[in-house]
Amino acid sequence: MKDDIPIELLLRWRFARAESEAPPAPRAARLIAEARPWWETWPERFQSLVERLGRVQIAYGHAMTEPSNPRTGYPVTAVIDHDGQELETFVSVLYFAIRERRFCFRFHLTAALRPPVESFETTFISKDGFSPLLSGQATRSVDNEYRVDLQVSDELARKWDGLKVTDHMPFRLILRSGSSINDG
Amino acid sequence: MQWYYADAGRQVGPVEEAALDELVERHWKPLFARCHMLTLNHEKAKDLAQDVWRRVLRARQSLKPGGNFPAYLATIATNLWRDAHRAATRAGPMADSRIESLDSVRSGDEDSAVTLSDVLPDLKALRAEDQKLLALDIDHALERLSPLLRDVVVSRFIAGESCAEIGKRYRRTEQTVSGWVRQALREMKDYFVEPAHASSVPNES
Repeated sequence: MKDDIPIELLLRWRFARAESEAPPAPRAARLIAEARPWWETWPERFQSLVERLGRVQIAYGHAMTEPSNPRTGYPVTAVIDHDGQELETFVSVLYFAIRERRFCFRFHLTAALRPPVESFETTFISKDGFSPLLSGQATRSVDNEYRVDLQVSDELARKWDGLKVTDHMPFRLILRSGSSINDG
Repeated sequence: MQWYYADAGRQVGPVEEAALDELVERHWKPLFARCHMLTLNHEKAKDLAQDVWRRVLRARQSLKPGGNFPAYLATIATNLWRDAHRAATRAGPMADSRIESLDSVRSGDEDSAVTLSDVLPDLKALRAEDQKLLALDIDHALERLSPLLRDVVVSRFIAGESCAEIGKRYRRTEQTVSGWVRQALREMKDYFVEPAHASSVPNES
């Protein structure tokens, strides 16, 4: 006669088995190197893209003072780094929310890339000092719309709390596609 | 270069590489196992667990001392896995509509301690080969669950989170989560009682 075995027990047994099958833990040195943000790994590339961002701001400064659409607010300057090329563009902010240090951001990319890029490593650059604020993946949802969902520091959450889609955004964007990420 | 971490009951402070090695080593196996229960794939679990550590290191300045570090790792793992799954499937099973459809608690199945007395033999009595088959069967049963139910059942029974705690994470009521747990258990049980899978489990005779 078989013993009664609840599903709960099966799951715990499976978990213990998975623990016993775990590969060796990764070395800290490797994790540290991999966790280093790209602007520290490739400072010259970062500087080049930031300078490009600054030039976009000067060239299109007037356009940035007018909301592109009453519902989406002011355009945000962006530089796309894709396939070894830099492309100046704007994004329209569709959604902006911070809740419990979770930052949810949706935007529409003005530049139409063919074929569309499924995700960009998105770096938020401060408007004032041109310094990197945070970075994360923006994944394409539909057409040219992308979404970012990131955990942010308390300090940034406090600073950006209360910002609305229709406000001037305190950042610019560097969008790097997968083809550019590994090349610096 | 100095790195910072927070561990349960410890002060935040600078640690050298060796200390970080020790920290990773201490939490690696349970983190990997948790990732395996979500991804059901050895390589994907390894990648996910490493992604978790990279995320922790990037967010080190916002870590708070005295928190539950293993729970923090598990939460990051779940979020990363869910995000990756969302990106892969777009409007797949994790879409809001799917979650909404699970909101209503199903009645008439109150037995959360489902037993498989007619299907499974004593785990301790299984031979190595049979244990391997059973592990595969459990993986397949988990694989059939929606990502939401898989996360819920792992959170409930592996991490020991209460339905109320899980509900807080999903912004759903405790009652709703209880319904999800029951549904997950029922679906797993249904998998095991299907003749094809029941017969793959060795009988004791």
